[in-house]
This record gives sequence, structure tokens and C-alpha cells, in this order.
Amino acid sequence: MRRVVVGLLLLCASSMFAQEQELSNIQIHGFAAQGLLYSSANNYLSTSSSSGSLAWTDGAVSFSDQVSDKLRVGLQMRVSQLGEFGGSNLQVDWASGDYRANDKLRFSVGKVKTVVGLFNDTQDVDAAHLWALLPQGVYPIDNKSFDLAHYGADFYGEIASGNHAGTLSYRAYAGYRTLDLGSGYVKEINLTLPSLQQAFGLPDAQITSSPSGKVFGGDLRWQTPLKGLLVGASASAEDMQGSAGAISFRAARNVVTQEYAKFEKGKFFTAFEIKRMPVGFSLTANTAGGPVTVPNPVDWRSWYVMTSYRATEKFQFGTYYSHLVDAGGGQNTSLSGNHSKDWTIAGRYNFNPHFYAKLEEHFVHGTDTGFYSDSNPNGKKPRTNILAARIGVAF
Amino acid sequence: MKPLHVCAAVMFLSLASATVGGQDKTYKIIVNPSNPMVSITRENVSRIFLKKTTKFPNGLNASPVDLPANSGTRESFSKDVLGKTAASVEAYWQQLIFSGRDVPPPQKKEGGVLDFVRSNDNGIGYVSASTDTTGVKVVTVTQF
Repeated sequence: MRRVVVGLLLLCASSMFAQEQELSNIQIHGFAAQGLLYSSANNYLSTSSSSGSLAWTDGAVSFSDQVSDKLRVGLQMRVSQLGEFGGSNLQVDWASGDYRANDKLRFSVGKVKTVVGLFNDTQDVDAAHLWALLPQGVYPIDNKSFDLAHYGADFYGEIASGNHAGTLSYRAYAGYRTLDLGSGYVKEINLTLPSLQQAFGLPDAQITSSPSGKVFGGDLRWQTPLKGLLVGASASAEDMQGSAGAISFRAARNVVTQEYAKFEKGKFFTAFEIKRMPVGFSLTANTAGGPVTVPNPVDWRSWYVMTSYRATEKFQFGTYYSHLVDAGGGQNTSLSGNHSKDWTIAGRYNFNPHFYAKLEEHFVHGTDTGFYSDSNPNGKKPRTNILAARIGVAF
Repeated sequence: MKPLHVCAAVMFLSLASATVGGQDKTYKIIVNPSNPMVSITRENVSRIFLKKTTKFPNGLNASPVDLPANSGTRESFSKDVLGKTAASVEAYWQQLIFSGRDVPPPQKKEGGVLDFVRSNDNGIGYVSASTDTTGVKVVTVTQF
């Protein structure tokens, strides 16, 4: 089914890519991408990547209508599958109304992509990036469905102060988010449950309804007077709760911070981000003798630095280093299970403005993110090289 | 006025009114004849075409229209005015489109750009320098 949907998307793209389609003020755009993962040791992202895996497919179609000078409405449907994550069902990626009072004040309401850091709201748009995989310490692809969007409202705008002071953009939002059952967080919690259920003599159960929680946040970015240099910071307060049979779990409200900078001049691009995500996660076993809470805190601290160069109009290459440690509960971050360090080199070739191919190699040390115990039943090795390739189309 | 001041003033005016490098050779910025504007800064053109603003500096609404992605004129315009390659501009729009933040200006061939600007009081576009621009107004792009 998934490949049928993607095939249809490709067919649509082939017939429509010469120009985006316009029906009055309606614009229709779309993208589709197919990937390959091949790893030297551990299986990655719930795929059988050590044998080579093609279980990596994305596609989306968006419809936007400029109803008036100030009001735009739109909807994007998405299908996304990576190993066990996502699925073949079409999902609403975003659906919102955007009102532009003026350049300084705009509103968005609905299911809105969450602006955090440089790439959060575009991390699923393969066509827009050089990289097949963004730095996983900051943008973990197995959890993108949770991070990407919220149901709620944003207000935002920008204050242009001319060439001397640059441009300041702001955004604030409030709403709630749901955790997709086919996401990495849910998989990780489900993997934790059996030992707890066994320890407290509780019946086996898995998560069957999507956990959810509130989120409030904001982003401030400054396009500096030095042309091409942007600096900014994002922060959000979020929580989440859910249950699986007699076990409930919650992430107490925590504050996630992200600071970033990027510099772009002509064919050259470089960026840096640093993120801190402390989560007061706990599981509560509701036993006959009363509830017993087991704390399981995490404290992800990550950063990356990346640079790229567009050698020709069609060919771009680059490299990044991504670093993540989990210091939750004061655990030893030098252990391979508590960190993930990824050195990546990548290249992208655009056959034309719509079709492209990507190839990249990851040299990973550590298994904190992306490597699941059930995908690696014989244990995880500390080092993995991963080849990631993608072909895609966008119109 | 001292000669030095005259010289400095002439140099400043020359710089301020200097057209963007390459514009005379490769493209012309056009607006509707009803628009009183005669010149516009490169920064303002960039903000309008990247849809960071919806207004001309004179306060009128601005409706940009673009050339197709594979147009050589668009490549020159992107590099000179937007400071990006056409591929970078395409990536910029893909990020905005698929995150639901905005959509790019409509794309039309040169004839369509001329028709759009002629028939739309708020229209702004660009065409190759050799194109006949009867019925629209060519404006000067200044650095500052």
C-alpha cells in the first residue's frame, strides 16, 4: 500500500512538476522520497539495515489557498515509513489558517508545524536539505512525528530595522501534541514495560492509545547586519502522559532549550546548534497494594556543527559532526549506550529542479539514539558505519 | 560648498543610484505603470520576492511574480538580488511550502509576467533585459 501511494505521488509529480499547479489562488505542491540504509554492524532505526534496507519512504502533498491578501489556508497530507516507524496511512501533516495583520504580526491556528531551532519544522522535508539524515542528536528521525507539529495557535512576525540593525523575528505558541503510536518514544517505552510488569506481577500490556501533553514555546531569531548571519534561540515547556494497562507514565513538565547560528554566503553554508532536553520521566505501576513510581529521568545534551558547499548548480557536498550524551540520573556518559557521536559526509546531485539523489556516510560511535534492543537481539556494538542514500522528487 | 564636499556628494549620489551589478545586462525589474515608484533598493526587492513583506516601501501592496525555476534570467536575478543561487532559493521555498509557512510567488513565463504586471496594480516582476516592456514600468534597483 505504501509503495502504491508513493508511486501515485511520483506519477503525479511526473505529470505536474514543470510548474506548481495553480487553480485560481490554490497552489499544489508535493514531494516523495525513497531511501536505503546499509549499516556495517547494528541495525539502525528499527530496520534490518545490516542487510541493507529499503524500508524508508516519505511523501506529502500540500494545498494552499490565498483566500485574501491577509488570509491563507492550507493542508498537507503525509505518508511516512521508516522501519517500524510511521505507517502506510495518510496523515495530516499540518492544516492551518494563517492571518497576516501586517509584517510584524501574524497568526496561525490549527495543526501547525513547530518552529524550534533551524530545522525542526522542515526536518521531514527531504527535498529541502542536503542531508539524508539531519544530525540525529538534535533532530532524531524516529521521534519526528512528535516534534514536528502541535495543535494550537502561533503568533509571530518580524521587525525589520534596516541594514544597520538587521531583522528580528519572533514566534510564540501554545497547544498540545500527541505521541504517534508508531514513534521511537512509544517503542522505547513499550520495550521497558515487560520487565516492570513482571516485577510487579502485572498483566502484559502495551501502549494502545496515543499519549499526549501540552506544549508552550517560543523562538527568537536575529538576522544580523552581517549579511547571511542568523543567530537565535528556542525554548519550550512540555509534558506528556499516557498508560499501558496497569502502568501509567508521565514526563513532568520540562523545558527544552535550543540555541543556534547559521551563516550562508553564496555557495557556502555553515550552522551550529546546541540543545538541552531534560525529561523527568517516570513509570507508575498501579498494583493491588497501591501505586509504585519508578523514576527514569533522561537529560539529553546535544550539539552539532555542519558545513556545506555548492560546487556547481547541481552538486552540493558537506559534512557535519553531531554529539549527544544522556546525563540523566547522573549516569556515566562515556558508556557507549549513553552517548552517540556521528561524523557524516554527504553529497547531493540535482538532476533538474525537481529530481535529486543523495548519498552519505555516517561514522557513528555510541548507541544512545536510533539503535533499539529488539532490532539488535545479540547486543549493540559501540561502532557502526551507516550508508544512507535517497532519491526524491519535489514539485 | 567646498570642492571636496561636492566631489563626495557626487560620489555618494552615484553609488546610491547605481544599478545592481548585472541588471542592465540580464534583467529588468518591472511594476505596473500606476505605481508611482521609480526606484527600489535591492533589499526591498529581495524581501518582496522572498515574501518577507507584502508591501512596497511606499506602502502599496506588492504582488510578486516569478519566472520558472529553470530560467537563466531567474538565475541572474537570484544571485544579484536575493544573494542566493536558484537552487538555494528553491530549497528556501520548499522549506516554507512543506512546513506550511508560506507559498512562493506564482511562476510564469516572460509573457505571463508582463501580462500579470500590466493587469495588476500591485504587480512586480522581472524579465530579461532585451524584452519589450511596453505597457509596464521599468524601475531602477539601487544598492541602498
